[in-house]
Amino acid sequence: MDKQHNMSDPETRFLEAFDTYGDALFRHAALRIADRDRALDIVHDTFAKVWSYIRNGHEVSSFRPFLYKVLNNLIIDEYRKQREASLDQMFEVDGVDEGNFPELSENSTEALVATIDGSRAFEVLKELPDTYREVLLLRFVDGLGPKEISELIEVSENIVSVRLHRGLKALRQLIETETKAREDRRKKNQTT
Amino acid sequence: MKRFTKQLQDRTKTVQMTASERSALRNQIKTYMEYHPVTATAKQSSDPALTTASSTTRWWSRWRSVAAAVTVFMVALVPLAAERSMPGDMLYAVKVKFNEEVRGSLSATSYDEVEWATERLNRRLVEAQLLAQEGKLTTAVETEVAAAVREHSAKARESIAMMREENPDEAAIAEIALNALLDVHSSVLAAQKVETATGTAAVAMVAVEPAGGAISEALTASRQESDNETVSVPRPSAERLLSQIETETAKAYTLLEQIEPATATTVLATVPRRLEDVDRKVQAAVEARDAGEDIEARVLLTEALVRTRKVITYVQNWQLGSEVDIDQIVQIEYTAIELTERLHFKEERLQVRYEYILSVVDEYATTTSATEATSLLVAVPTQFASSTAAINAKDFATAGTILHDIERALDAVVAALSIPNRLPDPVVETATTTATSSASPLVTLKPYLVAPQ
Repeated sequence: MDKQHNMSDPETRFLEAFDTYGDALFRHAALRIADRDRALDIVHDTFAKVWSYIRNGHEVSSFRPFLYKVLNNLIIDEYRKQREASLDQMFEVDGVDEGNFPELSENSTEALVATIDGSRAFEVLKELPDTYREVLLLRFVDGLGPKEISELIEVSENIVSVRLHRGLKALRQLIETETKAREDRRKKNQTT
Repeated sequence: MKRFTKQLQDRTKTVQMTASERSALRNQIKTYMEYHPVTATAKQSSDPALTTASSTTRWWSRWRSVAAAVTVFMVALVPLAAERSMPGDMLYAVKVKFNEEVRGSLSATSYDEVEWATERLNRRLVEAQLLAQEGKLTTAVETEVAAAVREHSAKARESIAMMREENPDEAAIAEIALNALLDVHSSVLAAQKVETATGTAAVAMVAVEPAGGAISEALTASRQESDNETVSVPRPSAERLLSQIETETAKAYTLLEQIEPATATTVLATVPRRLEDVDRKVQAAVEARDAGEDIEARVLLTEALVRTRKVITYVQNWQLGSEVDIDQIVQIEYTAIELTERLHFKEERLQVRYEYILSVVDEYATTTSATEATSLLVAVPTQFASSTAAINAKDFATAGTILHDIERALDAVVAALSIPNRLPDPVVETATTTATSSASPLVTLKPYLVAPQ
């Protein structure tokens, strides 16, 4: 629960929300778009938009989901602006159906997670398509549950689970490829 | 899962805002909130207490209305009217001893205290300026203003000294604002003294006081004390300066938007250019910072902040009725392209003058003056070559000095030979190729008569 919910005037509550969530929002934005300055701009714009919403007489009962929602929309806008031949498009071209994967459960995701080194995952995170990076960051860094994520990015919980599962598999694959490349380089250096 | 999450979170924690980035962002958001306040209706709708109707008798209601009217008069209207009062007016004491003291007591932080002391300092100086414009500045008011300058600048410095321990960046920013204000008024007084001394003062530009007056002395002393205290204080970080400039420029643009265009043609014609100069300076600072030249970046940003503060002071004081020329406060900073154009223009003008002098030198020269003229003119062609080279190399200071030397040499020749100091008339050519014989003559002006665009 937002602790600023108890405070009285909107200005104080809003600044309290910045102090509480500003860092997490910046971290999320910086990891999503890999551009520190743009991440700062986006966090600024997020708070500006939310403040505009409040000053028009609307009430925000819980700041965290609302801030994440606005931030996420701004990040998507940013992607639309600078979209290039990326892994996102490759995955789209593959036409992977995200529809129905009943075998996916929290247990299977846990099993997959247990096989991945979190530190190495951080190193290859930026190479992941944003569709997967988005849910992985929201789940494992920002600590949101699948239901919260599904409300935030406006897809079903099932699709969130699918993306989490595929994202983790892609992470593991990237780590393995990276590890193999390192190993090859090491062997090559030894022979020369 | 926990191990993966912890490992990932530990690594992602390294991605964070620096303290200065966080502080700058918070300030930007606060500024945004200040300029976009919550509307009264929005506040009211969220406060049920304000929407609850009270049930009272008619008598009680009427009594309340009368009491409310008296209260409004005493609490709101008198202080409101006092805000417009000037030294010597009946309500002036309410303005200075009540309104301003109450507002000062509401300062929540040391920075607010400094801002308010700086604002009071400005108020007193503008009052003196307005009285001087009307020819009503008395020695008594002058002494009073000088005392206020000392009092408020001392108060500001005291608060800055307290801030310096806890937040050196904020203290440095407050110091910059105080010094910018002292400089604005010192420049205005100095310019007016020059105009008065040379008899060039416009009717409205009456000097606030005679040279060496009490206000000037108080300003000089305050500036000196401020300089003594800040001699070893480091400049604020580039991020903090950038954030403050953004806040101040937003304020400047808001002030401009509030001005009625029809009544402010001079302000609207001069201020945006000064703000563009600020933008260019900030751009140069960002480039310097990105190139690792942190000190250079801070110097440029400090200059940009000082200029912004001066522009704001100019606009605010203009709104209060001040008729000071903006050039006395913030001069235009010409770009390299503009400087090149201006110097080339001056160079061409001097070349025309030089050729004219050569063409008439035999006509006016006597045996002795011819020798003197030749010795003065012999170096001019080389000097022209040097000035052209300096302009092309963007060494504008050197080019300016050389052109100044040429001008002095030509003045000396004109004086030595007693040549009438005039330039040839513009060349007038008649159009010969046009079908209509009644076509107006095409006037080709010599370059010295054409102002640079």
